[in-house]
Amino acid sequence: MSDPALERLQQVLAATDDALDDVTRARVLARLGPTMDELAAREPRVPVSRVRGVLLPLAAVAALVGLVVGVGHVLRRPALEATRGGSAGLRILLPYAMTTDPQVDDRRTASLLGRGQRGLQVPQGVELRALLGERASVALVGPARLDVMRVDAGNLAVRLSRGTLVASFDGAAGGRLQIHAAGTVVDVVGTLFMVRVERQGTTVAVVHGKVRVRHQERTWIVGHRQMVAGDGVLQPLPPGVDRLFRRFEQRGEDRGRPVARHRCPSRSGRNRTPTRRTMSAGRSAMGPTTQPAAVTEDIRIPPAVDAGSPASERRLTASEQYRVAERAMRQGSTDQARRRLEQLVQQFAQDPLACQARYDLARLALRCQSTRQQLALAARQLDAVIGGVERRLHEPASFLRCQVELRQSSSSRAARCFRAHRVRFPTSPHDAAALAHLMVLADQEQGVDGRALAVEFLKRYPTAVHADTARRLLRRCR
Amino acid sequence: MVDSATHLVAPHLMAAPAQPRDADAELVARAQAGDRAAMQEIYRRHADAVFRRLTRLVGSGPDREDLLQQVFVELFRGLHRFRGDARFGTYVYRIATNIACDHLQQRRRRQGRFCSCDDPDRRAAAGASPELATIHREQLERAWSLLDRIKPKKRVAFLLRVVEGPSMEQIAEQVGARPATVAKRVMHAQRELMAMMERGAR
Repeated sequence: MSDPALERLQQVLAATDDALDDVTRARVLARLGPTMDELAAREPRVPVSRVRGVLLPLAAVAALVGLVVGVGHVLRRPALEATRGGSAGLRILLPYAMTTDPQVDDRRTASLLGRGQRGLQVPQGVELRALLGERASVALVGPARLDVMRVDAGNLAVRLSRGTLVASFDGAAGGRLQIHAAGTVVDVVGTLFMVRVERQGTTVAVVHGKVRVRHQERTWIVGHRQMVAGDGVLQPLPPGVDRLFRRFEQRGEDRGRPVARHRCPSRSGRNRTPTRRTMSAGRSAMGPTTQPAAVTEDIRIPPAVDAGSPASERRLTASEQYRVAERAMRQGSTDQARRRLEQLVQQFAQDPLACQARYDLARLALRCQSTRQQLALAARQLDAVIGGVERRLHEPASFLRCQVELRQSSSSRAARCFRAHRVRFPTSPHDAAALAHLMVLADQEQGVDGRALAVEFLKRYPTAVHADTARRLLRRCR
Repeated sequence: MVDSATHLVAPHLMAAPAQPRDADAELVARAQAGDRAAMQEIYRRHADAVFRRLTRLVGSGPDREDLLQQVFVELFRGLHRFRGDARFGTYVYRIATNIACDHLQQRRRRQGRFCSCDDPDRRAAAGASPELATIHREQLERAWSLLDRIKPKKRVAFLLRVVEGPSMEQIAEQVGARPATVAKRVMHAQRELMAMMERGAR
């Protein structure tokens, strides 16, 4: 394509990757069998006069019926509990089952899991990922069962009867997620957390944000990288739980799910979230057979703080600041977002979230019509990120740094930067873009032959966005 | 300006679903014999790629789920016609493309112009920040609104060619037309889009 506007259109469309989520995949699969049976039943029978051999169709029908019955019998063996209510007797081999409730006639519930479906059941050894509405992304680690209890105006209530639920809930636009887990109620405003129901009791762990946990008369506030288990004592996340969260975040990013975004991992022994710990060490408060040993004040989780609200100026933790900034970015309030991020960097310079904030600040600067000074500041921010402790941000920050150079109209420095980026991160996901920039820069610079770069580009990325540019350049050079 | 991250083309879009051919052939043979388990396995293997293709062609409306089902129902009902001349993935893609094209034609007749931007958050580029997602959403809304004004056959040819990137021959095979016809459709679609964008810019 020759027109830059068309190229941009192509890029926008190409960057969209809408993956099929597990629930939709299973729902369609569950419908396939009955639909095909229904269609087969509806197909007109062949008139007898036109049948040369009557035995053949009869045999085929008999074989089909036999096969359906046989397959149904075989598929029943995995002991999966249900398919869809009211569907044909054929059980569909799913890695998990949907629990059905004929009484459910709530459109909002139906919009989560499908009409007439109320819950998800996951067998041993299976991890199911699903989106519940637009703001909750969950992973159920089997054996587990999750039922939707209520859905209203952004509030979602679910019951976890057993198993482990890892979920990311985005409460920035208001609304709550409430989880009922074996007598324990977990209130979530917006966070990444886990609830595990076992015979010994319920465990609640949090990576980002806070959740309120209620059990009988007791209330806990579980905050950043904390966990409360059967003994009712708040403790740091054990490595196993931490790994589970990392897997959840990693897979969510891989598949484009709305899970919590890149955040710098907390350094050991440094918990920046001043969670109010009013519980004394006590024995087993959350297990079904235990008595409460210590009672907290009923601390309420404040609703999501309004961006820029004067009342929220004080006492905000780094993660809260970042959440407010995220919300402002989502609402398009760039100035507010920038202010919040700058505040975060200033107040929590040593916090791992500060590197994420620096990266976001640089991105905002690059996006907006920034002055030279602002771009220079963005470059400094990115240098700090590249040299910082958060390794995951090194590569994107390095690429962004080169773009800042490009914006600062220093072609030679930008080219140097892109070359260095490619050397340092040879498997970078931005490699095609970096190579394309180098190709164009070489083409613009007089006396520099961009052919080699174009050839390399076409060899490595023959179908990428800028392949046409490379081809054009080659044609022109010939 | 589009963030650099969105400039990248997902490599998985470039080719038909990559599955071992022999395994597909074996599954197809079993499915042709009416083996439901084989059909389910075929579904599991190809559902994601078909869903992506449908999203590319019709946008991210709620109708994709029904279309996905329709694709596999059509596939399994007509499986006896598959003789193994082409790759099975290509055959699946062809059905998906035809169904998407029919759907677009029906939608055009039914509604005139259609806004396919019902679920923009999920369409936003994977791993993008909220800010980037918002920009991307706006750009997508605009892109789809432009594409909705192009006739379905041209739209499909254009999207297959410029977004997914196979050759004209491959597209021709998938849409059941001659390569020259496909090239003409792509060219017309490009012209129409450019004209619309120019009008929009003025």
